[in-house]
Formats: sequence, structure tokens, C-alpha cells
Amino acid sequence: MKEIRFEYPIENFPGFLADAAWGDTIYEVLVETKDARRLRTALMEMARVAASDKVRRAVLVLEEPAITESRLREEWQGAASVIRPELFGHLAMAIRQSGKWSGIPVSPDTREVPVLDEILRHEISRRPAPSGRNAEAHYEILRILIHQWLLGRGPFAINSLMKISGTSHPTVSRSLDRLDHYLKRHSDRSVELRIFPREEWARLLAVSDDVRGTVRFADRSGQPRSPESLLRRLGQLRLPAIAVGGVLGAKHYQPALDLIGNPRLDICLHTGRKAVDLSWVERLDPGLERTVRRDESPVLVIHTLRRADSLFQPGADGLPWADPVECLLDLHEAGLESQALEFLNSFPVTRDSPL
Amino acid sequence: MSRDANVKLISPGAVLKQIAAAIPPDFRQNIIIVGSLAAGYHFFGDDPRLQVRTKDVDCLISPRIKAIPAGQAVADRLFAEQWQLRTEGGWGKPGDAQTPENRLPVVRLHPPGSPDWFIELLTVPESENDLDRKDLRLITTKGHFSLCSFRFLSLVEFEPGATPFGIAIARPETMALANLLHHPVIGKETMSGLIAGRRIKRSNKDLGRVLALARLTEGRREDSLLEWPKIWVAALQSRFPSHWRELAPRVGTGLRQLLRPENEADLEEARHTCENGLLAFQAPSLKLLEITGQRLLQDAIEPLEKISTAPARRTAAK
Repeated sequence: MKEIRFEYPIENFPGFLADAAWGDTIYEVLVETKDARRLRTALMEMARVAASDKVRRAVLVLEEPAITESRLREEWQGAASVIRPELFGHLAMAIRQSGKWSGIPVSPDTREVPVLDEILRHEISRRPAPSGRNAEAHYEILRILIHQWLLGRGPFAINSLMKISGTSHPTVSRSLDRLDHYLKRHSDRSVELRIFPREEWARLLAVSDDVRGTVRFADRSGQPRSPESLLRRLGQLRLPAIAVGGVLGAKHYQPALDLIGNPRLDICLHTGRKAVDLSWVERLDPGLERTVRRDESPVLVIHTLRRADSLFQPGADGLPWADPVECLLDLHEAGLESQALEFLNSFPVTRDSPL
Repeated sequence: MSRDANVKLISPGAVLKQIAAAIPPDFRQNIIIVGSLAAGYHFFGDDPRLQVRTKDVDCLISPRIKAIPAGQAVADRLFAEQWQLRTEGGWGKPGDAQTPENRLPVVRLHPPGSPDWFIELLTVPESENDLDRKDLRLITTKGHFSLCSFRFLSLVEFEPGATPFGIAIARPETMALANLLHHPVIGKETMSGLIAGRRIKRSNKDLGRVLALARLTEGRREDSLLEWPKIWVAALQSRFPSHWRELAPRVGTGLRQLLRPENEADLEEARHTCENGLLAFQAPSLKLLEITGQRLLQDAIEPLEKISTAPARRTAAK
């Protein structure tokens, strides 16, 4: 496969950097655009660059555009009427909507789809995420909405969102505005996700350690205890506000999940606004020591939940389960990407239309 | 690493077999091997790659009522088989009828042609009220010896493990318990000989042995230390029916002292004995021993302390 180059300069077009280039095709990306003017400008710019003898095709990539398909076709026809045909013939649009690819004038072929996915992944990952307390609140709201959507629980009153997240009305409103593209708003002021918010999810994954206050513990005994042993011991400590996530949690929700072995124990600690107390870890196993080294395999990973309602599910032996969204994040964090996708696609809402 | 030239690696299985073969068949059932050889056999079995660094093999003669006839039969058979009295330390000369019991030597015998190790005959105390060392006169064809007992040796007599050789080995759990109770504090007494070139406190050596037993136990099966309190309670109730509740709180005091940061020099001595003993094949660091000690406290000692303070009817051994 040819190499994808990002932020690629085009000879004789000083100052222009294509978002990506693959062979003699260049790509420009627009994410969640709802602005037709921006679309037109982008097409004109692409046509200008298509004049280069180094460029055979110029593709405008649209991720979840908030413009209808018929409107996109109108814009395409409009551009055809003003751009010289010998340049316009080099242009194309590739559109990803709800995870599915289509295109104008034709859909991208199967060879190009993985290239387009990679280009979008790259583009999304370099976009700035919200920071600090705002980020924490935003991502709590995001996770609550995904939780509701995954479990097929329908629309959510904004008041409920405030209550569960423990945030104020302005904070919830700001967050919903940011997520507007993914939302269905109802006349009674309730909201629900209409699709899985891929871009926001990708951003959350990029900052999830900070947002969730993730702390890792590695074994220093040379005889590490298994996650199952740690779990039994955790149950005996009878700590409040603790739930099991990770592989064990995911298996609880989807027993058929293809997860053999369990390399570590993921724990969700619901602290709300209180300070995090991890002194119990020594009671759990004196062989555990906090590590910040990413090349070291942790035995125990603790994530903090700051929202008002933990959304924990009752579990056996007094230990609740973390909600499925936390489990999904844990799988990503553990690098179990294919299992994370399988887990995500195992819920009724995604089963018929896998992500 | 310097090693004590006098202490050789020996194969637990081979030595047990040799001892059993030398003991009259009728008395094999009265012999329980105690100490690092017993632990070595328990954990390493016949694996020829895993040997034990020891020179003394403690043979406990049990029960007490059979101690004299069994001790005489065993000692006389070993003498007849050309086992040699160990002469080091000035205790190689047997006593006679005039020698006071507390001046009699213990039976310490090298196998024929093998000065690398020796056996030492011991027995269990007469009752739970025998607080200190007690010497029992053992009259053999070579003279008078002492068959001595120590207070907590009765614990290692509890439910020993069988071997295919007809003699038994003490359980790691009860050996650990006896050592813990024997050292409620880190004492000043040092071992008479050097351990790999170093003078080591007896309590550090014995508490180090406890840590080695705990580590090997955990290494063999996860969470197995959690089973120790039940065995400890049963052994204590069986051997110290009147005193077990007062003994239980003393089980962890020496170990806790050893693990205090200010006693790192003592823990280092314990580490040194482990490295030159049962853990010779997985030399532990201080940190590692400290973790083992903390795990032992949490999994076995604290539950024992809790059981010992629980209402009486709930603590009867099942």
C-alpha cells in the first residue's frame, strides 16, 4: 500500500498544504461542516490545486456533514458550472455519514476506504480537545449520553442530564451545543444521540487518562496476583463506591465477547467531587506500586468517576459493575481495540448497523 | 557471592531416602523431618535441579511417649551402620550416668563417608506447659545423650506430610508458626556458625525462614497463604489447648518488628539467609521480602489474630 503523507505541500502552490496525499491523489478534510459557503470555497481551492501536473485527483472528504445529500449534490452541480471541465474532472467528494462511505460523483472504491478512514483518524486526533474542568464535565455528559444510547433508553430530559452529571444548566447546554451534530432534540427539550459520536469519542480517547484520573499499579513482588484474586480480595475489603470495569465488566455485559484471559483488573472509583483516596490499594496487595511507565504492564488500573450518579450496575458479591461505556473505555485503554469494537457492536442499537 | 564452604547443596529426596533407609522400619513412623530439608522436599520434591543448602537435618521423634525407645533404637541402628558423631563444637563426646541432663550432648550424626550434613535427634515437649528447653536422657550403646525438646516443636508435629520413604516431613505452615512464636522479638543471640561468611542473629535466620516458606507457598499456588490461619488455629488448639488464645497475638510481633524500616539491617540478615538457603534459586531483594512479609501479615497473621479474639464457640477447629 502506498504511504499516506499528511500536510503535504504542492509544488508551485506556495502556502498550500493538502491535509493528506496518497500517491497522486490529494485530500482536504471538512469535519461536521454545516456551512455551504465553506464547502464551495474548499471545492474552488481543490480545483485550483488540481491544475498541478503532480495531482491527478483532488478529493474533498466530508466527515458527518450537517448538510443533506441533496444539498451536497446541488453544491456539486453549482461548482461544475463555474469550474473549467478539464479541472472539474479531477475532483471528487467522499462522504462518511454514520460510519458509511458514499461519494459524488461515485463512491470511493474498497481500496481507498481504509485510506480515507486513516486520514480522518489522523485529522480528528490532531484537533484540540476541551481542557480542564470543562473537558471533564463535557466528557462526563458525553459518556452519559452514549450510555443512554447504547442501552436504548431513549431521550433524556436536560434536568436528568444535569442531575446525573452533577453539572449546571449552562455546562450541560454548552456541551449539548458542542454535540449538536450528533443529537436529536425533542420538543419537550429532551435529547438523545442519533448516531455514535465518533469524533468526540476519538477526542475522549486521546485525553481519557486525564479526564478519568487513571492510575496504574504494577506488581513489585515478582509473584503477581491474578485479576481474579485481586477481585476476590477487593470484595472482602467492602469498600463503598467501587465498581468493576475492564475485561471483566465487558464480559458481564456481553458474555460472548471474544476475550480470552484477563491481563489486569480495571476498577472504577466513584468519588464525585471528593478527594481520591487510594490507601486501600496496599490492603488489596502490598505488592502493588504505582507506575507511570507506559512500557510496564499494570496489574491494577483505577479510573475515577466525578459525576454525581455513578451509573454502576448491581453485581454479585456486593461488587457492582461499572457502566458499559466505562468498560468500553477500559478496553481501548488496554489496547484491546478489536475487542472494544466488538463490544461496542454487541448492543442492540449497533447490532443491526455495526460501527 | 561468597558461600560458606562447609554448607553444601544436598538433594532433599536423596537425603530423606538415605535417612529412612538407615532407620529401623518399625520406627520410621516416629520420625518427622523438620527444617529446610523438609521444606525443600515439600517444595522441590525430587527435582534434581533444585537442591537445598543445609548441613543439619533435624529429626523429630514423636510422639513423646515413644521418644526414648524410638530414640534408642534409631541412634543404636545408626551407630551400627557406621554413622559418625559430629565432633565440631565440642559436643562430640557422649556423657555417662554422672553427666547432668543439661550437659549431655545431642545426638548429631554424619552418614558414613559424608561429612556434608548431619542429623540431629529431637523430640516434642511433654506438655503445653513446658516453656523452655527440656533434656531427656537417652542411653545408647555409645553412651548418654540428650533428646531435647523446645516449647514450639510440638506444633511441627501437627499433621505432618507423608513421604514415600515411610518417614514424615513437617508442614511449611506449622514450621513457620513455630518459628514465629519462637521469636516474638528480634533477639540478640547469634548463630554459633557463620552463614555464608556472615554472623547472623538467630531470630533473623528463623524469621527469614518464615518469609522463604511464605514466598515458596505463594509461588506454588496463588492465595494459598489464606489457608494458613485455619491450619494454625487447628495446630494451636491441638497442642496448646489452654494457652492458644494468648499465643495467637504473639505470632506476628517478631515479624512486624523485622519489617519496620528502622530494622532494615535485620531484614538484610534475613534476606542473606534466604539467599543462601531455601531461596538460593530465586535470590530475593529486600523489597521482595518486605512484600512477602506484608502479604503474610495480611493473609495469615491478621486473620489468626481475629479468630483468636472471636467468641469461643465459633473458633473450635473443624
